Amino acid sequence: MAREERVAAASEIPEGVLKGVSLGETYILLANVGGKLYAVSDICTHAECNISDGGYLEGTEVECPCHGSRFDVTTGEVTQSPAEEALRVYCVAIRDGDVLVTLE
Amino acid sequence: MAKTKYLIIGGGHAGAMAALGLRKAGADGRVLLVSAEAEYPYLRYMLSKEYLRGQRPRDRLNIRPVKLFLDQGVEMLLGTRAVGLNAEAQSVLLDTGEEVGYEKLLLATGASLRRLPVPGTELPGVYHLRTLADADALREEIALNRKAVIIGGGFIGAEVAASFVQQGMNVTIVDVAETLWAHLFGEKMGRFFHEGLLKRGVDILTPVHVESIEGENRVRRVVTQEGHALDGDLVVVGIGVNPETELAEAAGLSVDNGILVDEYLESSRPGIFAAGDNARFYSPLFDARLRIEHWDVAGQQGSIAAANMLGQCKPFDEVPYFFSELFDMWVEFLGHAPHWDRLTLRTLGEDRFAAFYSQQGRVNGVLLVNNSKELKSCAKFIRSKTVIGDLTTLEDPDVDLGEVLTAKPDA
Repeated sequence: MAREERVAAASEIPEGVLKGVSLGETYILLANVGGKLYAVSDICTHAECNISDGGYLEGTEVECPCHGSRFDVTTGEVTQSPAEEALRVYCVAIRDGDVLVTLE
Repeated sequence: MAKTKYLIIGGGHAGAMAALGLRKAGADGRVLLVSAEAEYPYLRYMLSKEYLRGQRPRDRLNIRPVKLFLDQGVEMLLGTRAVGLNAEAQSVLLDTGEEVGYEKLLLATGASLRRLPVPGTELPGVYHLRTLADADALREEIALNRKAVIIGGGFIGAEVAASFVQQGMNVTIVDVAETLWAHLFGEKMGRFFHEGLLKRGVDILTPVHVESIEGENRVRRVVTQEGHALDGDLVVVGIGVNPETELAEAAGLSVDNGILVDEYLESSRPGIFAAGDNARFYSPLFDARLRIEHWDVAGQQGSIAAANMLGQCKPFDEVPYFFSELFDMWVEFLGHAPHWDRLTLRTLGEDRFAAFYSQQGRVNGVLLVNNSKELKSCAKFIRSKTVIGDLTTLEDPDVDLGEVLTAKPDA
């Protein structure tokens, strides 16, 4: 069953900012691109580094701090190797100033 | 005498991750990092790759934004070298004449370049590549479209050669070994890389021994003992590094091809830790002492050493990993396999494969080329120490590696 979980306050993620959050064993990367919020897995599909731990956002792309893999945070797709697999994308919504992510 | 609770000597990957790791692990009190380099910690591995080719701007070269270190209350003393260590008094002497007392010390001094013992290395146009300043100087030379001779075809030499050719330069690698990288991956895989470089436009002359580097106001040629005279107006020497252990030796710490540390990265002197290129650590996974001169291990060890400086008793037990990039080949190696009785090749496409180095059925190392997809399965496999009864199973590209690796060892 899908469920929505509050993971942050929207004010914590202004435009151009990345933030890593966790829900139990699930690590989620929140990114604010041009005022719109996106949520993808925070675990790089290459070598399982936490992207939020030093990664940076450039346009819609996030770069993993470990080996430079890049992903489009709006789609999860790989835009630069070594990663080969896309990041999982999560549904995200803002309600009453809270960031809500939908988990399966 | 100035005092700090935590003192880190060295501003490379290990030092930087240790400084941030201390705070992450809950350290309060002063954290001071002393670095001989004038720059904030940067992505050194890019110096032979994107940065050398002008594909990485300087403002994206720092390991972490400078602001992060400042926000975390990490003090950095850059352009300052530690010249003495008094383990009894728990103090480090800096080249400024200042002495700094510490409670816990991390030596993350890395490695220093081996120099070629031949005439001519002081000529203008002869370079090594270790620091950002070296890379900046080489970039200016690339712009002048030099004809380059690379002495030593190891990781740095081969990567620099590839980057030069990608920038349109004419490049020759000379090496004492007949086959490049055979000392790392065996003759068969060495040959793959050696021929791969040739195919992509790098000239290679082996096995030869450099006798001298000649020129008047600038390097003009490299002369070998075998009688070759190679014209070139740019020389890069990449013949390896030695662990930087002077401070530790002078202070009486156990040193043997690196500062000897246990699995917690603590040296023979309690309270003094070492991480990165200069540390020869005990690996519980391989039951051996290893010293690894690679990016990932340095950073991981910095983080682990930080936790242990806080008394958290975390062993360093990662599967050693390193990567390289040659033209369109992304090269990765996992594990530690100085010896093997079988090499099993799993070909997935042109220049895309995994090569398993096993001994008595246990895979101790995996070489991956353009195959990051199988990296995680391979790491789990090495960690599990699984013995595979029938290694030929791995050769079949239709067999899911994850399933083979999670299968029980043959009964």
